[in-house]
Amino acid sequence: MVQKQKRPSVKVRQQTCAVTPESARADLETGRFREAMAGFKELLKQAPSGEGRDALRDGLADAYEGRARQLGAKGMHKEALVMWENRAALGTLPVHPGHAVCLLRLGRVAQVMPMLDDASLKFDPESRALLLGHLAAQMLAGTAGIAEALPADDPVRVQAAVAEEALDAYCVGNDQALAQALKAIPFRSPYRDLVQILKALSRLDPAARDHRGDWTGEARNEAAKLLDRVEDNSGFARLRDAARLALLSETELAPKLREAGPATRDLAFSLRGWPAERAVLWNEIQTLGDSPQPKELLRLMFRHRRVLGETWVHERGLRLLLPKPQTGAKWWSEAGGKPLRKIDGYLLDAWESETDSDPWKVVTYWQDYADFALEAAELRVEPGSEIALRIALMHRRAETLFQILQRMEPDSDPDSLPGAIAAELELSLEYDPDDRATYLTLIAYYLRGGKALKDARDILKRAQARWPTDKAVLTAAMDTAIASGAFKKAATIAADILAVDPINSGVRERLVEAHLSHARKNLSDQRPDLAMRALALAENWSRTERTRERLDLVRGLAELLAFDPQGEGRLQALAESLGNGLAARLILLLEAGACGIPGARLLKQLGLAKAPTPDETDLRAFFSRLRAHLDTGAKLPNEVSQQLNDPLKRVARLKLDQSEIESICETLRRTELHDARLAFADAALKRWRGEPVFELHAFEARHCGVVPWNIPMREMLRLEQALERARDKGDSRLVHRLIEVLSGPSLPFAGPPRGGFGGGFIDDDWDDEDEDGDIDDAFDDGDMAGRSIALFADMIRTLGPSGFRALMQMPGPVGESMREMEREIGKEALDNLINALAADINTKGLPFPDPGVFDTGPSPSTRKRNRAKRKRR
Amino acid sequence: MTDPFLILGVPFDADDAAIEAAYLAGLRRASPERDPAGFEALRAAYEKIRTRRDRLAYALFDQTPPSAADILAKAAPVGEPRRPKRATLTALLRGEV
Repeated sequence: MVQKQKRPSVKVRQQTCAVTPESARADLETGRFREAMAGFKELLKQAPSGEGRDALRDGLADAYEGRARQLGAKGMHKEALVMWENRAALGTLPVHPGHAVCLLRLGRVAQVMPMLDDASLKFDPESRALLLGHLAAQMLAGTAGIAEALPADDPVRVQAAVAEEALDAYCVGNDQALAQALKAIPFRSPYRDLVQILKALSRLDPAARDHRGDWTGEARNEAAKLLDRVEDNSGFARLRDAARLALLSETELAPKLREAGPATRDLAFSLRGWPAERAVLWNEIQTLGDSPQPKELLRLMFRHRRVLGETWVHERGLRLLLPKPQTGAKWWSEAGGKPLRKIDGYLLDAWESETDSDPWKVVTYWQDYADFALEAAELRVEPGSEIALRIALMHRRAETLFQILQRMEPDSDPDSLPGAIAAELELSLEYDPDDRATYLTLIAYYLRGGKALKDARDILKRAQARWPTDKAVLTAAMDTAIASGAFKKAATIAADILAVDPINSGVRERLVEAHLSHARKNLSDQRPDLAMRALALAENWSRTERTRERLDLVRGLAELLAFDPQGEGRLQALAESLGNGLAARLILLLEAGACGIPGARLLKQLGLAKAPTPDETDLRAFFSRLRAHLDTGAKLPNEVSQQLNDPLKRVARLKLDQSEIESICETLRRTELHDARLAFADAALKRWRGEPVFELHAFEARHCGVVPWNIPMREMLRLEQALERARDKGDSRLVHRLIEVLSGPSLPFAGPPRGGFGGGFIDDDWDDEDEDGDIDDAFDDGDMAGRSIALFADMIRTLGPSGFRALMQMPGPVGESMREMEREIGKEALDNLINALAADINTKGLPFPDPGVFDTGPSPSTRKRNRAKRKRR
Repeated sequence: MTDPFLILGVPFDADDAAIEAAYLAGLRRASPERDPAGFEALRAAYEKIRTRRDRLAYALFDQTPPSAADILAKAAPVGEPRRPKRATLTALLRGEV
């Protein structure tokens, strides 16, 4: 048995080392009063009489006082009194109010009275007032003997009655009587602190609370100001502290209440309107600790399910099983819950699917839940009913989370993700046909890319039947008409919209854009006459300078095509107004390209064939126009890129700000102007050596389209150094981008499959959680096998299995990496792995615990099969 | 507190009108100027359960686990403030905590 070491006493410690006045004083100042007392006592024993002895005695008195306060704060008043008495026994020291307070706390009123007559207090009115305040508080607290011991005219005795009245009036809520009583208490009364506290408390009335039950800022500030007038050593300080606690918000209050005593809590509970049962429950919650575990909260909820409501406990309790519902469900019944239903399993599966960023998973699991809910419905599900709305929301969930249809356009693959989500949304309309937003999302999606106009028109027809005059639906109708080339119809709809919403500039802009597109199409078809007609219509709607400029430009091109001499002049004037530089050339080339006119020929005809070297103003104007063009979602045509690459490379040497060059590089990243981007990035690196953002631009521009393993190692190292510098700078966005580039193309390993409840939620064996950990371990950053597999998978995709195997003989890092992997997992396993990765089949025999780890996420057809399997089960 | 119904102080089967009324009443006590944080919490709660679809979506998709404060608010909501008992004040004046 280990013997417990005894802590040496202060005396022993004091004897073992030499005590000096300085060390004793240091103990005193740092609150080590016991050590200070022992030190000063020892020094006093050794000290000769004289001034030095007086200083040591004062030090000892201070040490006694400090210790007495420490003990008093802990409620050890008897022990504190011993300290006060020791202090008093030192001799000619003045009476300390703390000593008197301590006596009062112990009810020894008779011993306090002589102190009031002590000569020292006569010359210290502050201490005397403090002592009287304590006497006043004790008088109100009912401490016996005070009134009798005081002279009849003593203010403590005289004003006690009115102070009592004030307290009673406050407690019964008689604010008028309270105000009168408080008014009757003089300013210099020993009860003046009580006045401040009662005034503060009376500010806290029901009207001064917000919706959370907290006091409004105004009431809180007013009350706090009044309470601040009461000193910490006042006889009313405990009451003040309790009142301060009651001022806190509900969130601030909880941790403080834990430290408070019963009287303080009672006051806070009353003032905040806590019913008794809330206080009881709060006490119970406190036993669960600062951050209760979900299991403990669940247990608590089940215990109080009658008060909380069965449904609320069940619905909210399910949330406590996240994020690992498999584990959580095990302790659901342990905590006292009724067995989980199958539909709970579907819901937990669906929730868990959202922890991944895989939209397919979300679609599938919410589909499953919707199907189950539909099957479980006893009656026919009526559109618009509660169950129907719930089912509709489930079908819309993936789109709500990922907004796929807002970004992508329809394609011909019926099993594509956007196709599946669009089908889900269409299905949702069968259950909830009144959701306008879903119609609009679908119309916008089908219009994008212009390949699904029929679908857009079908949805629009249904929307128009419900909301014939709705502005948003009319706008969708206009967009559909424009996309279908029905410009007249679009103009009619636009007029309808503008009739009810004349400041709708978006409609105006879209219509002008539609007429412009029409005119461009006519020009491509060599019909400048028809183009002029479309332009005339566009003129009617054009209001902004920018659209007028574009109309002028297309008009000029139309005139040029119609051999009208005005065209050349119009276009030259326009180019001149834009500075005849790179910005003017960009605008002309873009518009010519859109109208099917060769840009080079146009520039030659206008005398702008020789590209100038732009100055800073022209360069800024150029990039502003280029950004505006790219922001519409359009790309920069090849012909335009070819015309601009050289002059841009020449201008890269201009001394622009770092942020401006960063912005230029970012814009160029969105185009195919890699040489120009590289020139700007290289020029920037000459000025700001090693600047990570330009290292990134230079790397990407230099190696655009190069397979990762063909990039020289020194280039990768340079980028890694840039990553370190970006980390040092704390530029998290850039760090993220650099990591993405260094990681190469997206890896095929999406990690182990999640979920697993399915329809078999109740019967299924739970997946062993540790399995996930093992798999993760095998593929963590430091694992050679994991990284190699990722790289190999990309290579197999590019080279095919046979080309990949040939690399086994290859010298250098790739061959070495493969040979190392072969040593680690064996030849057979490596062959299996290569074949599995290449054919996406037969992952048996791989040296990993779960073949599912190689699953890139099932294809839609696999998902359907899985779903069907689950359903059969 | 995380539960919007508890924040707005409305029953779980409250309709659009009751929720809007609770929100407007809350606004009077927590205006954006006087109590920005309170206003934000109120607004967020209102947005979550404003319409029937919102309420159904909240019930289906919100995964926020209940907090101890939610349980407390659901089981025993805060009532009207009361004046303390004289005995409580006496105890505090006596120096009890």
